[in-house]
Amino acid sequence: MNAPAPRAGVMAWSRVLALGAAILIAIIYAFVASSDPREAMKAFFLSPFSSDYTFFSMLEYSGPLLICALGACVAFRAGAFNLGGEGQVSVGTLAAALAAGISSRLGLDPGLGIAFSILTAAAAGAFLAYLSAIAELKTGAQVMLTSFLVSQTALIVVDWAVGGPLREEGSNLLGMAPIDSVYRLPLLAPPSPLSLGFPLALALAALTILFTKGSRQGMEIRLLGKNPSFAWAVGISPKLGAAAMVLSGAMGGMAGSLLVLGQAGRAVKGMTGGVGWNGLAVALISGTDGLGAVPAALFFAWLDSGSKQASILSDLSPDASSVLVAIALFLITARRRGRR
Amino acid sequence: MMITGIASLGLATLVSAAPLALAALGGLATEAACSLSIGLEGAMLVGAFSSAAVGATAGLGGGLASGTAAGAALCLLAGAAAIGLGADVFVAGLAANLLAPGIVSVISQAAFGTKGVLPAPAIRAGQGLILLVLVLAIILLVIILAKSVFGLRLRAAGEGGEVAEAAGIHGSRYRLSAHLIAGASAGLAGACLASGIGAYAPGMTTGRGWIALVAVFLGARRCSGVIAASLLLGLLFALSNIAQGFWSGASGAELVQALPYAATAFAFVAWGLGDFRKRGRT
Repeated sequence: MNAPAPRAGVMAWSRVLALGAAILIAIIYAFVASSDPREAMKAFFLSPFSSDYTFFSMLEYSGPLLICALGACVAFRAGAFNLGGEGQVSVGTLAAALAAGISSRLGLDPGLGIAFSILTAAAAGAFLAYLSAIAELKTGAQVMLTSFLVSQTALIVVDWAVGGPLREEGSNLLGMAPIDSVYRLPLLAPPSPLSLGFPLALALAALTILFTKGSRQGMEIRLLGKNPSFAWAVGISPKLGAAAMVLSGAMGGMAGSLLVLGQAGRAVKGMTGGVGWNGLAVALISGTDGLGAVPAALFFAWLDSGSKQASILSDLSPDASSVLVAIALFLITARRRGRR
Repeated sequence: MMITGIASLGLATLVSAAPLALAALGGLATEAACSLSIGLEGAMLVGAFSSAAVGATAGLGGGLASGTAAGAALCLLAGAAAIGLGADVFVAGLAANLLAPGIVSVISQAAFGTKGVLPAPAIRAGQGLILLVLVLAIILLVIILAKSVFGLRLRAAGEGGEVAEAAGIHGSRYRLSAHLIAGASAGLAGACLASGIGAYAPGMTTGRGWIALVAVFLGARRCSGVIAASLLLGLLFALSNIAQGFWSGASGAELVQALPYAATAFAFVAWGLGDFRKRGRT
């Protein structure tokens, strides 16, 4: 089983091939499922580029997605299967909205207020992940299952809070009151939803890659994920794995703050919309090294906005993107023979 | 009054616990073969959808059969990627879980023009009949896993790979059939959920496949333990359903839905705590 690991370049090419195969399946799907395959395909592949608005919407969506994917990468690297992304994003949205409310009550400086919101959201997500991390450390209860269970609980509680006691009075929307516009992320290309969140996500990606590739802790985390008993033998504490899990949760929370502080400008019931799970898929497709997460997140955002547009303009399903990505994931993982 | 209350709670517990136990025993089959399938949630979902989609015209029997087959197909796909093509078994299972809601929505849109609720009154069956089907399936699975030569070989293939190979047991074939069993039982469990309400609704499995995995660990990887754990977790679901009816209309009624997840997490951690202490002592 100890086949030499293929060179990184070879692996990257096999990923591109798998994504190409997914696109091929999308074309076949359009031909089978649509009454007007030409129009459907045009909508699917080209509509995200058809106007500034749709293009920038796609970029804006890729921001939180990228951060979720990076968070998943960090946890995977340490061998922790963080399946609680969705709940971590969700508490992030609530925490960011609450923090923005506090900022406007205190009259904080806008920049400070935004930073306060993002950090509060990160802390909330980190806390959720910490619960699972500490449980595994103390009792051996698998992070994979506890993170999912804690996340489900959090999703229900946040949806209740946002649509119930914290709901804006007299509004038709199941959501909290809109936050003061000075405490939102500045829009970069109005009227499109593109906000400062996208460059922030890119900067965070650069930081994450520097951390995992360049720092000692990053290397130790990788070692812990690859070979826990060797890591233990050379004195790397399993607590580091718990720390990676907490970091992963903090990133989920941050992704939630981008959703709230961006175009939406408020916390709404059910606003996570699967971004945590999609981030997980992006992380696995990109090979959990962080670097690949950027193109993979953009690719997913393209497929997602394409399938949503295609469902409006033609008779295709808006959920086609998740099927394509899952297929790509099968193809990619199946090529990892002898490599863990 | 008291007795009827206890009886109805007992029945509600059985109704919640039976699908969990069936899916969990399927998961146990893969765990025994040291190749845990985490795709149970996805298999339950495609099982529920397929039983409603096919059963709407084919009736209850056809619905249950197609639900079982759909779940089996999904887990077999993940199992084949893991065992035949060397993918990580967790990642393959996760891919199956990510695939399930998407493919159900796409097929539902293409075939029925909706991605929402799919009514199938033809598969609606009484609680008694569904329970009977589930209990029979559970008994069959327990016999296969605990009493049959196949079950013994399955465990041999999982625990002592090389010894089993030497004894002429093809490990990969047994592991693959474990994935087939897991998918089929989770698919049937999902089909029974759909049959209970006579419809498929998106997200109707609400994490039961993951909770079934907890039951595998809580039950200490034994058939009897897994069934006991499923009964305990089923009681949590039943209590949460009753509490929801009790508080319906009250402002915090939604919160009760979180009870099974939170309580399952607590039970899992508490069990781990006890287990950890035990291991520390010896």
